[in-house]
Amino acid sequence: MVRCDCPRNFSEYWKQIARCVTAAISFAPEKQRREAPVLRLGKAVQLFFFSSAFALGSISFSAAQEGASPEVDKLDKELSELWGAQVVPVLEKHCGECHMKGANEAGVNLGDYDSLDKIRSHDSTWEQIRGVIRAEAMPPPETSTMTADERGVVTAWIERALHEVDCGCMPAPPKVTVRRLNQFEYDNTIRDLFGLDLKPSKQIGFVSDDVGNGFDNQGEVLSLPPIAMEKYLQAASLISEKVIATDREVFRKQSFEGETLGFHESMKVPVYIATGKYTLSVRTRFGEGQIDSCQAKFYLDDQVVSEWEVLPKDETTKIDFEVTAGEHQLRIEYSEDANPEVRNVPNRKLIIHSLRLVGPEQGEPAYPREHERVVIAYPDTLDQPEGRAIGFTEATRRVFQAILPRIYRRVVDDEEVHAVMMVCQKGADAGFTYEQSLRFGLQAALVSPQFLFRAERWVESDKGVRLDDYGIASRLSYFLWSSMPDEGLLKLAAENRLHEPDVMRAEVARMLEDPRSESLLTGFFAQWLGLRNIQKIDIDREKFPIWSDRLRGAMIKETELFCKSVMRDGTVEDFLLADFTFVNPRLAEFYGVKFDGQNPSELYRRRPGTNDTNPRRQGLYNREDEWIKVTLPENRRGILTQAAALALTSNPTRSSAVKRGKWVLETVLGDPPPSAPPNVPSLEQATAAETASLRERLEIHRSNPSCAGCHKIMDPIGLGLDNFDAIGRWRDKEGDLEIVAQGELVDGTKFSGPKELIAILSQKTDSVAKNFTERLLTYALGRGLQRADRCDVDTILEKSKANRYTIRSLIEGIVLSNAFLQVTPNPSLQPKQASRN
Amino acid sequence: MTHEQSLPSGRIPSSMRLDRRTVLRGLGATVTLPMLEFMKPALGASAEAPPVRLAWVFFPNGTNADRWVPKGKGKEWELSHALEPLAEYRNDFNVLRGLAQVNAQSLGDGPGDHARSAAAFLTGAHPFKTAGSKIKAGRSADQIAADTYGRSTRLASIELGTEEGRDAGACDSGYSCAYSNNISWRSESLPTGKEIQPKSAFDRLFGVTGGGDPKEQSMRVSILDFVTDQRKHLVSQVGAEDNRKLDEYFSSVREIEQRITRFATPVQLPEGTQTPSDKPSDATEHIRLMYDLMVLAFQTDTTRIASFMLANEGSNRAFPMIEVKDGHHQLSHHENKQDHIDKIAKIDRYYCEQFGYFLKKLKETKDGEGTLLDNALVVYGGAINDGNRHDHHDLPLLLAGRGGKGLSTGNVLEFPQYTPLNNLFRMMLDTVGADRGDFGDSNGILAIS
Repeated sequence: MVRCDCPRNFSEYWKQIARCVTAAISFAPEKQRREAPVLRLGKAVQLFFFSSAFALGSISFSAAQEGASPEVDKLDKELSELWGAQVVPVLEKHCGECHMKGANEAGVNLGDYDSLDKIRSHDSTWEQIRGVIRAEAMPPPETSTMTADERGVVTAWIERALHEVDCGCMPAPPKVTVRRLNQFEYDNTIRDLFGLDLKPSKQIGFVSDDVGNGFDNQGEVLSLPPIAMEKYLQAASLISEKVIATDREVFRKQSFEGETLGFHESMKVPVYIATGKYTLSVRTRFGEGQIDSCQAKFYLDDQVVSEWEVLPKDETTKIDFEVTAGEHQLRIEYSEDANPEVRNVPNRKLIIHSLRLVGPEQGEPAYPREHERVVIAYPDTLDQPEGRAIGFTEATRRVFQAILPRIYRRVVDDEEVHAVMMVCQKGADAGFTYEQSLRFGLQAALVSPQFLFRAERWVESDKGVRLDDYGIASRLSYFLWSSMPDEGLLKLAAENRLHEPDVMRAEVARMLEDPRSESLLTGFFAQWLGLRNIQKIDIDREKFPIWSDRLRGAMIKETELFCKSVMRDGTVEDFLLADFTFVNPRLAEFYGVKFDGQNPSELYRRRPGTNDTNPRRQGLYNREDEWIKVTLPENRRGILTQAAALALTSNPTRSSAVKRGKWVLETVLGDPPPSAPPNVPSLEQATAAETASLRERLEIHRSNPSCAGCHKIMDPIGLGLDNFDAIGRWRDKEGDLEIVAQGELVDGTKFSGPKELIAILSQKTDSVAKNFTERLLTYALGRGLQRADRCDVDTILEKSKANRYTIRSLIEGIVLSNAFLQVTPNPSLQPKQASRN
Repeated sequence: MTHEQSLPSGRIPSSMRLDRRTVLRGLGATVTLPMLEFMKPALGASAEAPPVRLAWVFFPNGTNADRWVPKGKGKEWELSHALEPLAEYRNDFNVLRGLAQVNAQSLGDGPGDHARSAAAFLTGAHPFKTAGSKIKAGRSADQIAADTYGRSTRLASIELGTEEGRDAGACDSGYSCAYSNNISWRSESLPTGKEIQPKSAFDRLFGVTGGGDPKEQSMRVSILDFVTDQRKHLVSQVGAEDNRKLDEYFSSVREIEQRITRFATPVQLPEGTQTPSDKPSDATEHIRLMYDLMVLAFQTDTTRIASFMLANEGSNRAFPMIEVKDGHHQLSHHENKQDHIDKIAKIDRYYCEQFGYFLKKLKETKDGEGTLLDNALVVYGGAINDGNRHDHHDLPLLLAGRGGKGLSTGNVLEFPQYTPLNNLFRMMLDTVGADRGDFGDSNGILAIS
C-alpha cells in the first residue's frame, strides 16, 4: 500500500494526501440557481443537486484523481455546465427512449452516468457513443431527427471530457506498473549480458506474452503465473550451463558445422583460444558431379596459412598452426577455380562438411569467452600483494560483485551480493565444484525479481520527484533496444548525469545509430502496423500462385527496412508520401521495377524445362537476399501501398475495402471507426451474386441505414486502394470488371485513384503524427495513455513540428517528457490557482 | 516394472521408425501402465478407486447451430451433421442444451463478444473492459479444482492450446488479448497461461529436465529460498499496483517450491516413449498431439485437471485440410451466405472429429477396472452459440465420460434456457469434492443422474 514514512516516496505521500482529500462538487443545470462550488476536506463527500427537469441533469465531480489538485479545476467546472445546459437536452430528446430510465438497449443506460469520473472510467463506452453519433449510425438513421449541430455539441463534449486536461495543474504522470521482461527483451538481455545469442525463450518455449494496448510490453498485462516461473527456472539453468564451463579439457577439441561456398566466398569462424600449437581438420568436397577441382585457402586473422586443392570427393585436410592466446578468426575461402569460365555454375561449390580444431598441444585449453567474462576469479587465484590463494568465498564475491550490477542493471549493495554468494556456498556444502556452485549462484540471480522485473527507484530533484538515473538508463535501453543498458549508459547513471537533457539527447542519438535499435522494428513498428499478423494470414495459393512463404517474408522485410530508414532519417510524412522503398529481386518483380538494372524475372531460378510463363514463384531468385532502395512506380506511395499493408488488410481470397479503410483510420490516422454493434444484423441483401464487383457489394452494404453511417467513413478509403489485389499487386480489373478507384470521403473530398487518396490523407499529417506519438509513447512507457498524458503528447508534438516531425525529434521528445522521466512535480511548487492552457 | 508392451527404442532403420505421433498414440492405445508406487495419490481418492479426471476443451467462434444441435431429446435423438464423427461414442457423452454464460454478454460494455466469451467460459465472470490496465475476469473452474483436488498430483493442472497469444494490436474491440487467449484464470487478474508447443508441454508434464538427484533438488530449493528472500529488497520501492505483480511472482515461486518438495521424482514413462520434437506440421497433428498428452498425463496420474483451447477466441485460422481456405472468424460472420454457412459446418465437424479422437483414446485406455473415460468428466464447447449472432445462451456443449460415478450418458438433456453454465462446473467440482458453494453466477448444482 501507499507508504508515507519513506522520504524517497515523497510522491506517494503526496498522492495519499490527494486521495484522502476528496472534494465532490456538483452543479445543477442552468434552470437551478448556480451554487458555489463546495469543497470539503477529510472524509469524501458527495453532494447531489437533483433537478426536477432532468432525470439526467446532475453530474458530480470528484478530484480524487492521483496527483491532481484537490480543487476542482476550471475545465471540469466548465464541462459540467455544458453537460447540463447543452448535452443533456440533446441526449434526452434523441436517445432517452432507448437509453434512459428503464430502457437500456444494448446494455447502455445513459442515466447511469452521474459523474464526470464515471464517464471517464467508462471511456470505451463513451468513445463508442461519440463514434456512432458522429458517424450518424445512432440514433437509428431511419427515424432520427438529430441535427448536425446537435451531433457536434455531443461529440465535442465527449471528446473534451475524455481527452482534455488542464495542463496548468501540472498533473503527475500516471505511474508505470513494474514491468516483467517480455520474451524479446529477455532474449536480448541475455545476449547482451553474456555475449551469447541463446534465445532461451525459444529453446525453453516460454508462454507467450499477452498483448495490451496494442503491444506486448505492457506492465499490467505481463503476468507471471507458475508456468512462466517454471520456464524462467529452466532458462536460468540452461543459461548457466552455457555460460559457465565446468570442464576445461572439453575445449581441447572443438567442432564447427561447415558451409557451402560459391566462388570467392569465405566461411569465418571466430575462436577464443589459448597460446599453443593447433591442428585444424577440414572435411571438404568440390561440388556436385564436377570432374575438376578448386583451390581453398585457410587464413588465420587474414594471414594465409595454407592453400590446397579440393577435389570432387570427400577428403580431410589437416593444417597445423600456432597462435598466442586471445580471439582469432579462422577463415576458409574458395579462392581459385580450375576452370574460371564456368566458376559461377550453380553446382560448382566448395562444400565444407565440418571443421575440427584440436589444441593446444601443450598446456590448458582456453575457456570460452563468455566463461572468462563471468568467471573472473577462482579459489586458487593468488591474492595481491600477499600471494595467498583467495579461497572459495572471496572468489564468489569477486565474480558476483562484477556481474550482479549488470544483471540487476544498477548498483548493488553488499547484502545483495552476499545473498547470491550464500547460494554458491550451499552448492559447495552439497559437494559441488566451484564452477558448478557458481552456476547455481548465477541461476539464482537470473530468476530474481530484480532481474526479471524492472523495478524502479525514485529520487528527489528540484522539480519534484523523478526516476533515478539507473531507472532512466533502463527505460532508455528497453525502449530503444529492447535490452539492458550497456556500459555507457550504466556509467552515466553511476555519475548521475544521465538525466541531464543534453546527455540524454546525445545518448538517444548514439543509441539510434547502434544496430540494437533495430529492435524497434520488431518491437514497435511490427506491432503498430500489425505486421506480426502477416505470419498468420492464409492466402489462397490457387488463386495467387505467386504467393509463398518467401514472398510473405519479403513483404515483412520490406516494411521493416522502410521503417528503419524512416526511423533514422525520415519524417512522419514519409509514412504516407515516400516515393521509395526497398526490394529484393522477388519484390522487384512483384512491384514491376528493375532490380539493379536487371529484369527481376530473369533472376528467378527456373528448373530446366519448366514453363517460362509459369507464375509460381516457390523457388529462389538469384541474389534473393540482396535488398536495394528503389523509386516506387507512379501509382504507389508510402506505407499504404506496400505489399505488407495491403495483404494484411485482405481476406484469403480477395481484397477487403472495409479492412483497408479501417486499418488506415485506426492504424495510420488514429481515428478508429466505431466497432460493429455486438450483434451484427444479417444483411438479407448480402447474398448478392459473387460476380458483383466489390464496389457493388459495398453499395448494398451501405444501403442498409444501420450500417451505412460507419461504412461511409471506412469504405471509400478502402475503395481508393482497390487497384491493389489481395496480395498487393496492381490491377486494372478484377475478373472482367474494371476497377474504379474513385470515391468521396465523408467530408466531401473527391478523389480518383490511390495517389490522389493518399495526397488527401497526407494533409492530415498532424493527426498521423499525433497517433504515431501516442502509439510510440505507449510502447516506451509500457502502459496505456491516460488523460493526464495529453499534456506530454502536446508538448512533444509542438517541439517536433518545428522539425517537420522527424521520427528522431519525436523519440527525443518522448524520452525528455515528464511521463518518461516519471517526474511528479513537487506539490509545494504547484500553482495555488490553476490556470488553463 | 513391467509393461504389457514396450515400444522399441534405440536405432531402428528409418523405414521402420515410428513418427512421434504414432508413438504417443500407440501409448494410449496399447500400453496399460501399472500404477507405480509414487504415483499413487497421496491425498484424496483411495488407491482402489481411480481418481476422477476433469477436462475442458474449448472451441472458438460459435457454431452453425442448425447443423450442430442434434434433433430429439432424452435417448431419442439423431446425431447432427457436425456431431456425426462422434457416432461411435454417442453413448459416452451427453448433449447439454439451454445452458448460458450471461456474463459474456455486453452488459453495457459494447462490442467485444469474442474476448468476453473466452474470459467468461470457465469463470462465469464478466470481464472488465480494458485494453491494458486492471485486467480482471474471475477464477476459473479448473483452477478452483486445482487448488484442492490438484494438490495430490505432480502438476495441479495443465493448460494447453495450439495458437500463440501473440497478436498485434487489440485482439477484440478494446479488450486486451489476455481475454481472448485464455480460458483458465489462476486468480481473477492472472491468466494461467498455456503451453502451445507439444514438446514444452511434454517436458513440463514428465519432468525430463531436472532429474531426481537429491543434491540438485536441494539446490533448487536453495534458489527458491533465495528469491523468496528478495521480497525485502523490493517492498520499500514499490507501490500498490506493483505489489500485485510481485505477488504473482512470489505466489508462483511458492507453488513451485511446494511442488518440487512433494513430487521430487520424475514420472516414469514407458520405455520407448519419445519426446515430440519441434512444431507439428499441421493443425490436425498439433491438436491430436495435445490430446495425446492429455491422455498420457491422465494415464500416469501426472495431473487430473486439464484445459485445452483448440484455438484462441476469434481465431481466423484457415483449414486447408478440409478445403476451407477462408478464416474461421471471417466465415463465422456468414451474413447468411450459403457457402460460408457450409464452410462453418465443415469446421464444426472437423473439430468434432478431433474430439472423437480424444474420446477414442480415453476409452481405449484402461484405468482401474474401467477406462479413463469412465473416470473422466470432459466438457467440449464454447461460450458463443451462433458466430453470426454472438449470443451466449443455449451454448453448444457436450459432457463426455461418467465421472467415476456411472453418470448416465447418451442423452440430449434439455435444461431451462439461461441455466448458468457454472452450475455444470459446480457439478464437476462437487464430484471431486472441490465445490465451494458459490461460483460466479451459478445458482445451484446441475443435476445429471
